[in-house]
Order: sequence, then C-alpha cells, then structure tokens
Amino acid sequence: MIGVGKIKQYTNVLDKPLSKGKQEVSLSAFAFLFSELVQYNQTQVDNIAELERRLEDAGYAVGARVLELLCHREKGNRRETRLLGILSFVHSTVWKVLFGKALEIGFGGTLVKKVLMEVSDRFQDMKDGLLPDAWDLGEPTMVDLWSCLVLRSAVQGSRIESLAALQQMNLFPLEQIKPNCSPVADSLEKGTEHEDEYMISEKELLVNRFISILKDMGTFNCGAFVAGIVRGVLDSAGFPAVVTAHFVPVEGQLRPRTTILIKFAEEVDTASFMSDMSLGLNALLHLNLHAKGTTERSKIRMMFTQVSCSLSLVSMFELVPSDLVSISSETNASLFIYRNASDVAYILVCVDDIVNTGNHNSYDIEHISQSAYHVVGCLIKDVGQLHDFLGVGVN
Amino acid sequence: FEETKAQHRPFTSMAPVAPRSGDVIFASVERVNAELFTLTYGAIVRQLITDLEEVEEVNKQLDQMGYNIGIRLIDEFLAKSNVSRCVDFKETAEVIAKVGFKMFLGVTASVTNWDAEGTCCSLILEDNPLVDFVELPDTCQGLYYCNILSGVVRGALEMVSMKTEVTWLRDMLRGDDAFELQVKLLKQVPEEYPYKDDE
Repeated sequence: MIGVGKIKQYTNVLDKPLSKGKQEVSLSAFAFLFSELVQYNQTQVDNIAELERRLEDAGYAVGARVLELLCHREKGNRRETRLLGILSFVHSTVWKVLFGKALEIGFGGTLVKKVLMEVSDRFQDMKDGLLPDAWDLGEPTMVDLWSCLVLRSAVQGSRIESLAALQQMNLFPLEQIKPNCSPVADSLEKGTEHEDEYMISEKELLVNRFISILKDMGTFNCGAFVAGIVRGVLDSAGFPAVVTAHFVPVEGQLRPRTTILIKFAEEVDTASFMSDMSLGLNALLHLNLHAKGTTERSKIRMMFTQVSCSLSLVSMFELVPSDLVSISSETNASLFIYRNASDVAYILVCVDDIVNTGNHNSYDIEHISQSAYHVVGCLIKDVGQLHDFLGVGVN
Repeated sequence: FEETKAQHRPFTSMAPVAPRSGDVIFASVERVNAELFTLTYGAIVRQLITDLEEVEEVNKQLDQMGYNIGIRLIDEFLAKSNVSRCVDFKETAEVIAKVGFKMFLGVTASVTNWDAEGTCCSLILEDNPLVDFVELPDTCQGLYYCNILSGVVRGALEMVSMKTEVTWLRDMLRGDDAFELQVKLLKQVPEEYPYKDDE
C-alpha cells in the first residue's frame, strides 16, 4: 500500500473542494439504504398518505441540495427563470446525474392542442406550392409529425441527422392523439385538461426497482421520494409546485410505468411556455419559405438550427422575443431584444443566419456560438460585418 | 484446503470458482451516483434526529438499521464474491475491508492494529461516501454519523456465525483524520441446524 500521509483537515466543510460527481456506489447499497428508509417510516405512521408525505419530505431535502450542487457545478451558477428552462433542467441534468439517464417529458393536453391547431392552420395557408413533395405524407400524419418533432426538439434540443432517422422515430398517427392526450415519445399516457400540469414518465424508477407493494397498500408508490426530490428542486428554484408519483398501467407490460405529475402553483407563469413552443413553429415557417431547391437533409438541419438557436438564445440569455418584427402571427419570434440600463442588443435569427447588433458588444458572437454549440452542437461562424441579408444590401 | 472447500459445499457440481477481487465485482455490478446515496443517507439521519431528538437514540437506531441491512447484505456478498470459507478472523477482516467495502461503497478500507490474540482489529476508511458535504452541528456532537456502517458489519458477521462488537474509534466528522472502526470478535457460534438428525 502506498504510504499514507496525514490528510489535509478542513475546518469548514465548505472549504473542501467540490468533487466532480463521478464517484459511484453499488446499486444494492442504495437499494438497502432506501429500503431501511421506507421501513423506518412505516413504523412511524398510521396510514399510507402519511407515509407518502414523509417520503416526500425526505426527498424534498435531497432536491433542494441537489439544485444547489448542480447549479454550482454544472451550470456555472446560472439561475433558471423560465419554465422551459427549469423543466429541461429537471428532466435532463437532474435525472442524468441522479439516476443516470435522460427521460421523456409530456405536456398538458390543451397546450398541445393549441400548438397543433396553430401548426395545422399554418400548413393550410402554405400548403399550395410551398410544401416540398417529399413531405406530403397526408395531412393528419404530417401535422402530427411536425408537431411532435417541434415539441420534442424544442424541449430536448435534439438533432436529427437524416430523413431516415426521422422516420425511425416512433411517432404515432393522429387518430391516437385526442385533444386531451399528450404526444410523449414512446408511451401514450392519459393526458390532462390542465395547462399547468407536466408529466415526467419513466419505465421504472430506480427507487422502485427492488420494491413490491402489498395489495392492501393501495396506490402507494415509493416514487413519492423522487416526487419529493423534484418538488425540492422546483421549489428552491422559485417554481412552487405540487408533485406526485403515480403508477400508470401499460398494456403488454407486467409492471406499470411510473409518472411524476408536476402541477405548478398559480403564481408560476405557464404562459411563457407557450411562447417557447412557438419558437419551434417559427422554424417551421422559415423552413418552408426557404425550402425550395435544397435537399431534405439540409432542410431538416436548417429547421433544427433555427429552433435550437432560438431556444438557446432564450434559455441562455433570457432574451425576450419581441413582436416588433412579425409575420402577423403570435407564434413568430425572430427578433430578440436585450435591454438593460446602459446596453441594448438586437439579435435577429433567420433559419441559419444570425444578425447581431447593439452597443458595447453586449452579446458577442463568441458567446452565442459557444452556447449554441453546447446546446445543439452546431457551429456558428462569425462572418464579420453585414453586407447583405436575405438578398437585401446593407451598409 | 481445496478439499475442505468442496466438502463444505455439498451442492456444488462444478469446480470451485476462484474468489473475485473487489475491483472486479464493483465494475460488474450496477452502480448509482454516490451523491444520491450520500444525500439519501443525510435525509435519513435528519429524519431520525427530528423524530428521536436524543443523539444516543439516533445512534442506536442507525446501528439497528445497519444491522437489518447487514443480515441481508451478507447473502449478496457471498453470492457475488465467491469467497471461500475464511480460515481465521484475520482473513475475515481482510475480506471485509478489501472486497466488502469495495463492492458496495466503492472504497477500500485497510486493516491495522491487530491485538495479540488476533480477535480485535481496526478498519480504517480514508474515503467515505456517506460523509460528503456533511458537517456536524454543535447540537449533535455525540452523534456517530456513520453508525449504520457498524451495524452492517455486525449484522453481516452474525449471519456467518461470528458475534462481534463494533465501535468507532476515530471519526472524521469529529475532527479526527480518518474513520476507524474497531471490530472485536466476541465468540464464534457454531452453526446450528434447525432439524434434528433423526427426524
């Protein structure tokens, strides 16, 4: 064994260097520990509801600490102020760090319906002559395909490399999408009426893997611990919500899926979420305007570049889309304006071009390109002074 | 030694398998992020302190929880590690430190301070995933934060017929430079079979 020297003693735990978070323990160690937590709490309560509440409280404390840890370590102390941002944070960063994988997320029914209807209206307008032939897959499926793509890419920032990859995505036909259903990636879930409800769904929660529930315990779910973690994260980030865990039976599977249902409190601004979704629609419009004469592959890429850039601008810099420049639609958002006491910056996003102007170089292209790369892996090149844009000369 | 091993395993139909090292087993089991583990343990301790209020009670409850874990953990340990029957307590301690701790917590302990008879030793842990981010407040100075570990060791050894007493000698949260767990063998209990031979 290597000679052991005296380890440096830190008087204050906050002075210790923060670990990278790569250390692991075995799953069984965690499972044993969790089972003791549940068993101990069973001795302290009289009924199931209280047991769930205690597990949730335990999870709440974990969630609050996880938020602090991850904000500091992974996100460089940035605070999320938008709903989309915090939901993305929960379902990707938090889940990936704690449970080792990313998830699907679903949305409340009426929100999706609005988006779907908007998309189909747009397509009605532009159908003649502007839709590339390859995309003419029949009206209902088309709407479904695009809306699912848009929603999914908008939330997950994913990229699709080719048409083939697109076709492999498991999207189901419109007949199965009723107004109150949410098009989640690979499972049909019973949707909800409310716009402020979101669902995180997982095939089997890590904490439930070695737990079987007695029949006389009814709908008790140890996922209440995980629901508590989510609630802790959301609450500490300033988005108060009620979070619960439910079992959702799925046909053909022995064990039911688990859904974490997040219902935001009234003071949370869920309307901003809609405008984030609309950014995706914006991409659709631009794509169709520019679609002629280019191959399918680049069409898709252009579309996602647009969505991703727009979203990265919104989520990274909290820029507010302005409706000063719009194509008479509430869903278009191409011009971003940032204003504070001394600086003003204008950023115009158009498919794959970004025009940036303002004083003091508040948002220089370096910064934007790095963030865009981080979000979507696309590189943005600074081509210097603007000479022409969309065929219009500039001086 | 090989023959005795085969005799002690009446159900083995294949050749005895070599014991696997802690690193190998740890690499082959499913793992989770240590931070989830740490934070969950912290939540447990916090809940206990809120419910029980007395630090001594919390220590006892942690030890009991550890004991419950230990009596089940030993099965998994034996199944996954393929260790043969230990010849003496010295070997037992080495196996716990090198294989046991590694395969569950991902850290190895070292064994020192053997007494003259070979029944008492210390397990030293430099690195302990339970105590990341933890600081003991003034109100909990008597708390043995990692007492669950002492219960685990005690419970596991009891299931393999060794009655032990496990106590903390050094605790980093109390200002020492390492975690030192003293394991003292009280007695070896011969295995009892539940059925009488003539029935």
